[in-house]
Amino acid sequence: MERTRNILIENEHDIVLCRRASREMARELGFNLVDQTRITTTASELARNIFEYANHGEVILESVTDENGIIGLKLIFQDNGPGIEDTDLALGEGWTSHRGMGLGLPGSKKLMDDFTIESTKGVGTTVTVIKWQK
Amino acid sequence: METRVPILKIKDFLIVPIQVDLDDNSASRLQHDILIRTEQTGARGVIIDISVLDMVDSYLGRLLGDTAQMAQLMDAHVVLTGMQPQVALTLVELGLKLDNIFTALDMESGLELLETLLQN
Amino acid sequence: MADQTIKRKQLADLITITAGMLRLKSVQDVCQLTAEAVVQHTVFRRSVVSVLEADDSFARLGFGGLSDQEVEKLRKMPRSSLNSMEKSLSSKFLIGRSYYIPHDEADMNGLASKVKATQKSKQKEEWHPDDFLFIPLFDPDRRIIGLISIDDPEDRSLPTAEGLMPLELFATQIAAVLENLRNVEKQHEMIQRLRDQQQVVLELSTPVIQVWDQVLALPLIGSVDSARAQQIMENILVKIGETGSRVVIIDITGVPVIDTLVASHLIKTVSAARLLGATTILTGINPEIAQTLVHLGVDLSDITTKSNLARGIAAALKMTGKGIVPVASTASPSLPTK
Repeated sequence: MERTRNILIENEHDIVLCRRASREMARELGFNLVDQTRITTTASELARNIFEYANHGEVILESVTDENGIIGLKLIFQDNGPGIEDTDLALGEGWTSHRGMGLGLPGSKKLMDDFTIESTKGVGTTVTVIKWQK
Repeated sequence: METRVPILKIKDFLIVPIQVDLDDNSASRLQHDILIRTEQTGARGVIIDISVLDMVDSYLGRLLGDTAQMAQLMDAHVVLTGMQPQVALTLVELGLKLDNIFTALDMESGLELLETLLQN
Repeated sequence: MADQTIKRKQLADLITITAGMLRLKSVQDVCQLTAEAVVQHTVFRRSVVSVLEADDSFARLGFGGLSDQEVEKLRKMPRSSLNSMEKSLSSKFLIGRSYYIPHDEADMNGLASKVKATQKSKQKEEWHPDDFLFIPLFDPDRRIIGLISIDDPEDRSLPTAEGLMPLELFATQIAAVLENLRNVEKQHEMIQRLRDQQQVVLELSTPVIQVWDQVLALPLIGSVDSARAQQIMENILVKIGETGSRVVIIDITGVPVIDTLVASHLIKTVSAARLLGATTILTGINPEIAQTLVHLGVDLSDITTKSNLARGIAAALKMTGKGIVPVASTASPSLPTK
């Protein structure tokens, strides 16, 4: 049973809507509390990235199943913004631990199980993350 | 759609209970309000209680840490209270240590801590 | 002989369809596709495909040639039970491998009622709307797992063993596909159960003990892998929240070695505990682990360490404003004095 939800990111309040939708879906799919929090936090970080770098974009939430029948939640963050020139750099640990700037991408990679990013300068960026149930 | 977080005054301290999921604008507004109130009242300590929040992301985390450092410059200590265990875990996994702000389990311990800090 | 060609084509079409079914993941999809295939490639214009569920009732999952209202009606009708179905599986109804029960012999209480095709005046040797025809689906052990019920032949003809052969071969293929899907489902269930069990073991092996008011201790024994370290972290944080503890002692005397992943989990635990207002004391660090921690370049400034658990507890008590003192030794009057 595949379920999908779409959230358009056009203003700051949409980031909050995105958090809520992810939390709801994670809960409905049966994720434990800690994982729900990881998912919601990731959604907030990456939705904010869309808003800050591209002004608008879309988030797609999708329930997925792997070949062993394990359920997961896939989140896709898409924008048509300026794109990231060097994704390796963006994922690098160029942050200071207490100020927290630029933590969105590397942080989300740590919180989620699967993480892929595709970005083309001048075209846009798509970040796809998946959290699998234990 | 900005939410306004209430700031309560008890003796020499300010108590700020965050009870809703804040969007970025409201969070910035809150930082501003806290600092203005601190100046107005001459408060020596601020308790920011987040026991209702089920998520703190890097933006809010950073904002809280900055608020503490700013208030410190105005001679007021800030103590963050009531963080939920899974929120603490996620923040740390995210990479945010938040060691620029005092923390306590709940408001009561927070007030005790403030009193200890102010004695020294 | 044209008849033979038709049959061969029918068979070829149906077999092609089963090949396409191998990629389907749900039992319902298979049933639906089967019902549609029957209606498309045989003289029968209506078909319902059912599977036997755990409670021994047949669930109607695939519908071909029926209108939406008729499907709704069927969905709401009570299910037939395995028992009642078995009554109809008598050899007097057998044609080839299918069962044909003419309307005048149908025991309407035994068989599920069906949604009938529009009535036409019938001839004697002709299909009647109340006739039942179905092909049972068997698993390798010859147990029924479902059935394909068919109705309303175009040419109004009565069924014959020869005529039904392509359909019957199709049915054995479908049975195999369904059986395979069921096995996959069972495997998934087993995997899930194993994972649940693993989780329970993990939780049981990391007990957090409250040694005093506001002091928690976690004596770790044995090797710690990443999954266990993760579980420990979560357990400690939840326990701090529940008990309001201010000091957590993690004793690793019984842990011979930790890898960098586990070390970083430990460091994160310390940071997270601090966010909950608790200090962490690490005790029993052996030389190997001491080397690992320093080589990792971790910031050890906010970790308090003591050489063993006893010292850790003493330090924890001191931190919470308590201490251990000897009880004054006054001899009891009833004891003989030396």
